[in-house]
Amino acid sequence: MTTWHTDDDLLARYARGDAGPLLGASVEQHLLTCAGCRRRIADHVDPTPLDAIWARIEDQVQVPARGAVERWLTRAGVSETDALLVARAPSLRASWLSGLAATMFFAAVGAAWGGPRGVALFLLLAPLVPVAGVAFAYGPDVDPAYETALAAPYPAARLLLLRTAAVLVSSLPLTLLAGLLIPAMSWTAVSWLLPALAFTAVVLAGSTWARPGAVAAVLGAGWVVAVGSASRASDPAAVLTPALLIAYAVAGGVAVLVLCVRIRHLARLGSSS
Amino acid sequence: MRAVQAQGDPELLAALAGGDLAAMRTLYDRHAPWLSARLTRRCNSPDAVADVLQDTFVALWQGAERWRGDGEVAAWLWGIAVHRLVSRLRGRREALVLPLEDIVGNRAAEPSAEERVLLGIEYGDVGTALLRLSPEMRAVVQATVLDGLSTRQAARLLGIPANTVKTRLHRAKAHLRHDLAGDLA
Repeated sequence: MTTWHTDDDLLARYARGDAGPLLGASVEQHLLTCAGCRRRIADHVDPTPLDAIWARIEDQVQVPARGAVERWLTRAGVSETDALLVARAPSLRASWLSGLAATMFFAAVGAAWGGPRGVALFLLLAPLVPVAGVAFAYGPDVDPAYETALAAPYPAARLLLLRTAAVLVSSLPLTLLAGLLIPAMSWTAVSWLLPALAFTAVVLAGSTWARPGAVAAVLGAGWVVAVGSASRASDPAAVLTPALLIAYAVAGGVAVLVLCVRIRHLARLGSSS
Repeated sequence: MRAVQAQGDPELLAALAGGDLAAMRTLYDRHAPWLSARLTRRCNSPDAVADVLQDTFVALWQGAERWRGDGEVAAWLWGIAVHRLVSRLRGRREALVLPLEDIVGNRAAEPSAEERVLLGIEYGDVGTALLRLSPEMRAVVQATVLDGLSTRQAARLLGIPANTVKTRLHRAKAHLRHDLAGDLA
């Protein structure tokens, strides 16, 4: 196209900002169309900052796309770091949430049409949903980001509590909705919330000694036995009598106190294994 | 890797649109040096230049399929970069725009008359007339005519009101017209 090309002296002066407006503009117009001169100007530009910039570009384009939970949390005012760590919890993945919705839906259907046995099934599942969510929210067995979280200068207690809050916010409304679909148990459909919250607090308090999963398993087994025997005796809703509800509330309160006292022991999670 | 390096820019862009990071690295090696030199002539903050270069290639990664497939990839890249520079400098005054150098030095690399026309910028009458403009007016001519920015964008880049850009450009054109007419007479 053109036989005029920049020489090394001109390129060097241009790169130094020393070529003057007219020569500079000429060089710029020429560089737009001449691959050869573009290649040669690289010898006159310091490569060190360019390599550093490339490293930044590489970092930025390789960051995985942020998920729906993360974007939603950020919009709700949670900082980006918190949102990322919260959203990495297995119990906040879409597959978990949809599985949870399906389980509770079928439990509610069973409770609505299956008589006392259906109510027992609902009562069996509903309070354990947030417990399972918390158990699967943190710990070496379930969290792919666990080692990262341990090594990071980020308090484990804060992470566990943030994830617990997220689990409650995401799972309780779903379960509550499922319970309200059941016409036969107007009061029971709400009162299971008390044991659910108490159990969650107990799991958190227990996590200061053992893994959340182990605590939740023991608690879950106990609950299954209680609902099972109440159901066999007469009425599954017997696990929700006023006296027992008060007991749940007291247990939950004690668990919260224990958690407050022992919260620094959360950081040793998993190391006891 | 060798195959990637032998490919032309449009082919690399196509590969990049498909998520090929090696293709972008090759494009970066080809274009980052001159882009950084050209940006440095417009903005004397190395941090701002680094940010703009980073933004440009991240934008390229996200929007490589927007390349229409005609013209020079280099010109397209400069278009992205100069617009990124404008938005980077928006509302900030820590990065000062360099005044253009005043004196044309070496004439040894002067192009032939035919090539002057091809290059668009000449040492002839228009060239000397341009040199007679004040640095402020020349900066406006450079931003609007050579870098292809709108009045508003040029105003942001130079840190002056849009009306000032218009006035200076108007005056610059009047000066050029006068000088060229004077030379003809």
